[in-house]
Order: sequence, then C-alpha cells, then structure tokens
Amino acid sequence: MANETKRIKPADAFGAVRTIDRRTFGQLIESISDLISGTRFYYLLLGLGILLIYIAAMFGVSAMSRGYREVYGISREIPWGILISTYVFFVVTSTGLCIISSLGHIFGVKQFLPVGNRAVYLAVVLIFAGFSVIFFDIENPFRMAIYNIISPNFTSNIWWMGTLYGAVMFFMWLEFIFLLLHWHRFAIITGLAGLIADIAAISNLGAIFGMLHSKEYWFGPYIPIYFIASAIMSGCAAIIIFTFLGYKINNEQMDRPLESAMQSIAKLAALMIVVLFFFTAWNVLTGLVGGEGKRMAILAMLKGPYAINFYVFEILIGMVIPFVMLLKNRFKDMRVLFTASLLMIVGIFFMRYDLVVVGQIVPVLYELDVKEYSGLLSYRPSIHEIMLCIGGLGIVATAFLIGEKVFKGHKSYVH
Amino acid sequence: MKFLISRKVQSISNTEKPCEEAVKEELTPLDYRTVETLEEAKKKIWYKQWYEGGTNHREEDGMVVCERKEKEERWVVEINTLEELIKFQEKYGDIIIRNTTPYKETRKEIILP
Repeated sequence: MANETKRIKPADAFGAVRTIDRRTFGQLIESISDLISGTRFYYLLLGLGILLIYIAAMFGVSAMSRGYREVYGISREIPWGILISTYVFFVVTSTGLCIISSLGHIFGVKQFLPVGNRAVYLAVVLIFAGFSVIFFDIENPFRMAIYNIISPNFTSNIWWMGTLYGAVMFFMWLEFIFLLLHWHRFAIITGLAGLIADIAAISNLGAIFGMLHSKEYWFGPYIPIYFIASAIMSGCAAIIIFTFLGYKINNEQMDRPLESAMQSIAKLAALMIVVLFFFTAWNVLTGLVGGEGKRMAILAMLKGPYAINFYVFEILIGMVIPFVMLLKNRFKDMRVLFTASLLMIVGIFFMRYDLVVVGQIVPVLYELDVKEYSGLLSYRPSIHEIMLCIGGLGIVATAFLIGEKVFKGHKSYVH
Repeated sequence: MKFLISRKVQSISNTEKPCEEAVKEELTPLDYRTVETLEEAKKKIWYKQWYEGGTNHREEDGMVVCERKEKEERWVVEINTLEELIKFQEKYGDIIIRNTTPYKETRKEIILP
C-alpha cells in the first residue's frame, strides 16, 4: 500500500475519526468490488467453501432439532467430543498466529513484519471458526452469552474462557482495522491488549482441563503450559500454509524479506516441535508411573485404541516427518516448508483430539473397582459432529479466499 | 547506488531516521507475477487489479511485471563505492545487505543492528 495515502496522526480520537482518509475506505470498497472479478477457479473454490458451510449449518440445525444426545457420539461419561477438540484446535492455532504477528507488529522484529497482517486476519478468522464449531456443542449458546454478562461466575474457567476469547476477538479486529487505516500506534496498543488477552485465554483454556480433579490425565499444570508451546507451533504452521497458498492464488513471487520471514518461522516451528516432543515424552513417562487412571489413559495411547492416532498422526506426521523435512532442506524450499507445515497441522489436529478424548476414556469410578466401569469407555464422532468440524474448515477456507482478494494479499504496509 | 535502509528492530509506528545518512524517497514498487506471458496473465483472478494498479506492463525473466502506480516512501542511502560501503560498515557495525522487495530504483537493502 503506498504511502501516497495520507497517514493519520491520532492525536485526538475525534479529530482522527473526522480526518480518516477517504481513500482508505475507497480502496476497501474497490477491493470488495474486485471480489466480483475473479476467475472461475476462484469462484469454484469459494463456492465449495460456502457449500461446506451451508451443509454444516444444515447438520447443525438438524442436530439442534433432533437433540445433541440423539445425533452426537458423546455421552454422559464422555461429554466432550470432536467439537470441543476442533474448537481447541482452532483457538490454539489462532493464539499462535497472534503470537507470530506480535513479534513483528508489537515487538518490532523486522524479520516477522511481512507476515503480520495476514496473521492478524487469520487469527480473527480462526477464533470465529472455533466459536462457530463450539456453538453447536453448547445446548443454549445464547443463554451463555447473556448470563456471561448479567451473572458472571468469576470462579469458573469457562466464564473466563468466553470472556477472554471475546476480548481477543474484539482487540484483534480493532488491530486489523487500525493496520488497514495506518493507525499504527493504535494498532500496537490493541495488538498488545489482544496478545495479553490471548495468552491469558489459552492458558485459561488449558486450566479448564488442568483443574479437573476427576480426570487424572488432564489434572495438573502441564496443559496450560503445553497449550502455549503448541500454539506457537500451530501458528507457525498455519501462517506458512496460508502465506504459501495466498501467493499461489495471486501468482506472486515471494520477495526476499518474505522468504526470510518464512524461513525464520519454519525454524521457530522446528524448535517448537522439539519442545513439544519433550512435553509429550515426559507426559508419557510420568503418566506411566502415576495414578492408575492416568496410566490407563497413557496405555490406551501407547498400545490401545488410540495407538494409531498417537504414533502415526501425533508423532510421525505431526512431529518427526516435518522436523526431518525441515532440517534436511535447511528451511530453504518453500514447497517443503508448506508440505511440512501441512503435516504438522494434520498432526496437531489429532493431538487436540487425543488430548480431549483420551482424557475421558478412563471412567471416573475406575479406581474404585465399580463393575460397570471396569474397562475403557469409547467414543466415535458421529456424521453430524464431523460435518460441523468440516464446516469450521469451510469458514476458514472461505474467509481466507475472500481475504486474499479484498485485502490484496495482505501486503505489509510497513517495511 | 541506492540501498533501502532499516534496522533489525523497529516499531511499526516509528518514522525515525534509521541513520543520519538516510533520506526519504518515493520509490516505485515492481509487481512481479509468476506467469510467463501477458496473455496468460489475462486469465488470472488478479489480472484486473494488477493491470489497473500499474504501468509499463511487460514480460521479464520468465514472469510478467509492472510498475505500481502507487509509490512507497522509504528510507534510502546512496553508496557508490566499495570504500563508502566499508566506511559505512565501520560506522554502524555488523550490517546486513540483502535483496529486498523489488523497486524500480533499487533491489537491495541494508539492515543496521
């Protein structure tokens, strides 16, 4: 974006609002009108994304009318299924994107500036996708929103989750708008507020699991810290994937600063893979010598019904293969970075699923030798749940495609 | 020869000079697209926006390129000899010279510590 556009000096808010450069809005309107000038392939992809959202919405309406217990695979014993894990997947990735964007926009590391705008936009999109998925898991989502305000329970992690993620979405949107308007000082302030809220939100999200006494697999300080570390890894993978795709869509050639940013992000991702590998290894090792409930859950992953998820998806696809690919390529080839990131994201999706589901498969009364609960519980996602998750992906894909066109490839305004 | 000049750590709201030799100049960004011919470009989703946003559209190095109408204001230093470059490096320490976003006027950037 050229600096021909008049910059706003936000000395006073009212004055600034009055003097907003009309060209910025003009450019936005022009971009929106550009949306109707795409090629067939673009519209095909866009149509596919919208179709996925529509189909998912129909499944959601069907689930609401028939009842969640009827159509979802969840039960009284395993009340959190793939919808919750997908929600966690989206919001944790969003936090990662927020952290990546903050490195450039807030902390001023020039290296990360070229990916900043796209990361902020995608962070908002992913939170929205996460909220959309969890919307169909909560029996009365609107009631939740109302009572969140008029009857807050400050001792509830879930209340904090809703509030903090609401704040994150608000601040991130503001940051994105301020970046578009070149109100950089306000963008930094809102970006910092968003980052603080986001770190608090993700840490609190981990605490929702970590503070459940009855679930040994989750209980403890491990998950809040694990979530922050894995957020960075998933944020790195997501921004590499979407930047690569964005440049493919627009047939643009990555310039050296962007290539360099992608390489730095890939190095950060590789570092986080190692960190996560240690987290996973010690979680398994300590779990095996821990209480019987946790040991059972860990064994279910090591040699039980979740072994394929664990070895193939979490370890091999999520960590080992991308790590080897990145190191072998020395972070140079963008196609390798993209493929490794795609594998990481697939692996991370399974990490979230396993974390949520495996934490519930050991019956609460297992250690009391209650006969009805002598074995592991089982859960299989229903077609309704799967379609709603795909709908979440549809939201991300659609918003990404629209964003690439409307915001003209999210070029960083600051170099 | 002109070089863009910047610092490793910089605030997005900061418009301070990166160094005393820096001057602000309006530069013309070059917009490269990875298709070989202008004919091929016409079939792409970005063509209208790319075409209307630039001038001097041409095929170059197996790609199409145009000069963007919207200029960008950037900090620039002019260094014409190796001696000047060495003197500059001695003054500022470990500088990095790298390719930058391509402009009509320059394609190189110096990053100061």
